[in-house]
This record gives sequence, structure tokens and C-alpha cells, in this order.
Amino acid sequence: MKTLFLLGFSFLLTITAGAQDKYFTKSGKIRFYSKTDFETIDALNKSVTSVIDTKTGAIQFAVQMKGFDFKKAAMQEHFNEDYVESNKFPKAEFRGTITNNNTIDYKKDGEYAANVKGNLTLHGQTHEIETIGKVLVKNGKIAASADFILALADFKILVPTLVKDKISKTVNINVTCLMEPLK
Amino acid sequence: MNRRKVIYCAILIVIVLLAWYAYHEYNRTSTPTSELKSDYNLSASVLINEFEQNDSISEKKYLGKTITVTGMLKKVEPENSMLLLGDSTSSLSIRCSLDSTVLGTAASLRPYTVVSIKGNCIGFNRDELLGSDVLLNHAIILKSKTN
Repeated sequence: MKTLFLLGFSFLLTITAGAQDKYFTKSGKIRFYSKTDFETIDALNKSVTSVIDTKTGAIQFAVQMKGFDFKKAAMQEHFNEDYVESNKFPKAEFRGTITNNNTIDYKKDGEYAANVKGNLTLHGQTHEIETIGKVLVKNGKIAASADFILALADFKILVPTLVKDKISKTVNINVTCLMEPLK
Repeated sequence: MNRRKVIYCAILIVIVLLAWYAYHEYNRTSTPTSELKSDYNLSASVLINEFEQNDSISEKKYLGKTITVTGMLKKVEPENSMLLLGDSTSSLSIRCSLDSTVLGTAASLRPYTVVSIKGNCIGFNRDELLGSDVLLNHAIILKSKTN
């Protein structure tokens, strides 16, 4: 009887533990920023989907390219039509892992450094990226953030020769996601 | 003498017009959703079904287009300025990111009312784990009916 109870109880524990393992958001923010003397490009996407599996450290992002908003309409149109060709490649995706996941205690409030490594697919090209992000655990939620640089050439994003010296060859990316447990 | 002056004036006027046009075009902001004409006008369930059946064909059809969609408000997320339309028994939704001009109105909406939303379709996120969403951006509320 006692073993049956213990078995049943530990089974229940594993189910509830499993449900608490994943955190997600569908309103994550990704901002990209590029500055030269000629032009400042600043765009924000507020509809990013992201999931973290806190048990394995697996982390994924899904980004709709048409969701990047620019202040200037002409810039947004050039971005979509000429640079990232969003009609051909409507989505960007990142699949990776937090390589130091076992150093992060998701149950304890605090700020943890997260070493992230994985594959980013953008403009139909897949390239490995590695960066150090931040995981802030507070009140049962996770605030995940990272800042890194992408080289346009890695994703075959071509800058027209006319503006080659005016548009930066790299962009700064800022990711901010406030994630809640998946129930 | 006179003809040359006229030609110079004409060239000057053209240059000024070009400069004005270039400046105007450079600083142009996106047309507000309220001023955009809807490319499509349909119910939430029809739109969701189309994407569920074939997302690549639906993406080619709806991506970047202005859509007016009418359906049941499933959920309001004021903290994210998001509205979800769709059937509450289904994991699929139309996820509408509210335009900055209507941010304040989200909090007053009640779930399980019928609403009409106009927005720009930015894509479809197929996700078996989290539930798939048709995504609309710069969404505004056209009308809502309370039961």
C-alpha cells in the first residue's frame, strides 16, 4: 500500500515537473540597429515566439520578417523587398542550446549568464551563432535577453553597390523576451 | 537672353521639386491602418482554416495584405497589446498586435464578444506545442458587439 502511494505520488511529481519545464512567449521583442554616418537603421519586432526548455537548455525563436517596424516607410519597404526578401523568406528561426544550462537555477530568483549556441536561419541561409545572453529569474517568470552582432554577408543579404559604403555590413541585434511557464 | 533665363528657371524649379519629393519620400511614415483599404474581408474561422489547410499558399495570398477579420475574441493580453480571435476550443488563433494609436482600448474589450479587426498580415506561425497563430500587425478595432 505504502509503495503504491509513493509510486503514485512520485508519478504525479514528474508530471507536474514536466509541465513546469518549458517557458514561452509570443510577444518577444527583437530590435536591430545599424548606424553609419549616412544612415541609422532601427527596427523593432514585437511578435517574436520563443520557447525555452529549462531541463535541457534547448531554446528556439520564430520571427516573422514582415513584423519588423521602421519609422520610415521607404526603409521598411527596402528592407522587405531588397534586403531580406520577406515574400520569399517570410520567417527567420533560431534553434540552439544554453550550453551552461546546468548552472542556471530556474527556480531561484536571480540573474544568470547564459552561453547560447545554435543555428540561425535568415534569408534562407543557416549560420551558426554563439553569444552570451542573460537569464533573469523573477517571480516565476524568465526574462531572457541577448545582444549580438550579425554580418549581412553571412546570410547573403546583399547591399546594393550604390550604397555599399553607406550601409553598415553588420547589424546589432537586441533580443528581449519575458517568458512564462507553459501550462 | 530671355530664353536662357526661362530655361534656368525651369531647371531650378525641377531641381526644387525633385529635392522636395526626395525629402518627402525619405521621411514618409507608414500609412495608418485606419486609412488603408482592406484587401480581404472574412471571418476568423475561414482565415484560420485556410492557413491550417495550406500555409504556403495562404502565405502567398495574405502576406503583407490588409485584412479585416471578424470573429470571437478569445483572449485579451493588455500587457502585450495583443488580441486573440478564434474558437476557444481550438489551439489555433488570429493573434493581433494592436497599433500604437489604439493601445488604450484593449483593456476595455471583453472575451467572448464578436469583434472586427483590421490589420496587416505578417505571417503564420505553425506551432504544435504552443498553438498556431495567424499574425496581424498594426491592428485596429473596427467595431465590437457586446452580447
